[in-house]
Amino acid sequence: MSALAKLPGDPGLIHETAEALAAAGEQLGALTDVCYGLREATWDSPAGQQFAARVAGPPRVFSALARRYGLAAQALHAYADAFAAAQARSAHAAERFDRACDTLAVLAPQVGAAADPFEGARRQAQYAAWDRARTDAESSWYAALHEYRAADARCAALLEAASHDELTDSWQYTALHTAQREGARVSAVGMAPTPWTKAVGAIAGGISTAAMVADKVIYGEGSWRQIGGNAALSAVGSGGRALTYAARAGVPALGPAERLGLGSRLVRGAQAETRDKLTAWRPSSHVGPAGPGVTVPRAGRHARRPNPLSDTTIVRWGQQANRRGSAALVAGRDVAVKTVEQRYLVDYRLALRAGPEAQKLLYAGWGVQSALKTSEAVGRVRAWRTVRDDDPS
Amino acid sequence: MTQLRVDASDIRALGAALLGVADDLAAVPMRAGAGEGLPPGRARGALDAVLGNWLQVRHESARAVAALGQAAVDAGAAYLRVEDETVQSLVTTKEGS
Repeated sequence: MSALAKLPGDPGLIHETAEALAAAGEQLGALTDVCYGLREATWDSPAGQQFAARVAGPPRVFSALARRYGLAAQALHAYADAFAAAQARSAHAAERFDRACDTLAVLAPQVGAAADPFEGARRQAQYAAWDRARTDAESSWYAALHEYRAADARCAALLEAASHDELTDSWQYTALHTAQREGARVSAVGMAPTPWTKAVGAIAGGISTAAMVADKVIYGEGSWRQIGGNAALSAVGSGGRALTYAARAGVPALGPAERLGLGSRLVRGAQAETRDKLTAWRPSSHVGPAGPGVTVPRAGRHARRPNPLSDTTIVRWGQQANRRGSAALVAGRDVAVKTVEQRYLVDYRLALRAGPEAQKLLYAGWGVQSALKTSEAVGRVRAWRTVRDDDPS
Repeated sequence: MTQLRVDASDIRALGAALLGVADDLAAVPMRAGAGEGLPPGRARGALDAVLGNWLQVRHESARAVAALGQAAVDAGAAYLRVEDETVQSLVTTKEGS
């Protein structure tokens, strides 16, 4: 079996994808024209005028999508051409490499076995020529790999540029959907039959459900029926707190932050939220704070919990008071600043150090907490916790 | 200015077309799969972003277009019904007189 192979992928399919996107872009462009026509027309009926007034958002979206798809199609066509060349070169190089390796395997025992010195030198030269051919083929294959990577990077840059426009989801929206998806995934930890994993699984399920609540409250998506049917209802109130714990997991007050995946972060967030609920169940040193000289494993179900907030130094800002101002204003501002610091900035600074995924979790946590408060205020969550489904959607 | 006369069946057809667009919006693929032929790399992830990072606008637009489509379908049907009923009443009046 060859150590080198043809680069995987299908340039023909990439072209087809590009053509499909271009066609969709053209259709959307035509639809945009129709919508603008409907909107700009002078309607000879009150209903028509109302209808035209409502045709405002869609053409803007269609127009942006048409542009996005058009740019993506161009990028993919260029990528497909460059990738096809790199792939052909890699296939040719892999074939040459295979042939050279096979030939060298045959020649190797013959070199030095010839009784005639002239014949020995001839075989030596032949072996050296095939060895050069193998090296050349290998170099050519790596050059093809380099071409592919360069084309991939060019295409990715163009696609990334195309995907940042007025349509792009906000961070908080993305964060909520990430929390829903990943929370549901991590909740599978609860399948393991121990009180500890069951509790973590329930909290993680609560994260997912809490994110669904926030999605429903903030963006009006999903349905109370779906949320009410979720098994992790009892942990929903913990979901927002668990997300903020997850955001700052592995970030000490001083020193470098640990590199943690999204799943590990959520597990740690759920662990931190679960901690108080499991004081009665500590059968081993796996669960519980590390004593002096005790090394706490950092991964899997024995992962170390995030540092408590009390270990974190709060750095005040806004302390340089305007001394000419009134004492009451200064005091009021200090209280407000301290509240913001305690509530948001400490978490935000830790999440900033932990990286983009942690920031997403923090935004999701804030979104969930505020959404739950809003829902509590209007009584929807209370109603839904008693599994009274008041929304037929 | 060009003037177009749009009758009730046109309005209903417009509504049906808009409902079709709303369905299309709801069914847009959100991720690039193996079917796109892209090798593993940054481009595949970036294509996912092109296809999928407008979830919120997609939901909102699908809802808005569906509402417009339904309104047009209802209005078209209503206009047709009124026209039918008017014709019927005229025919009845003529036969009765």
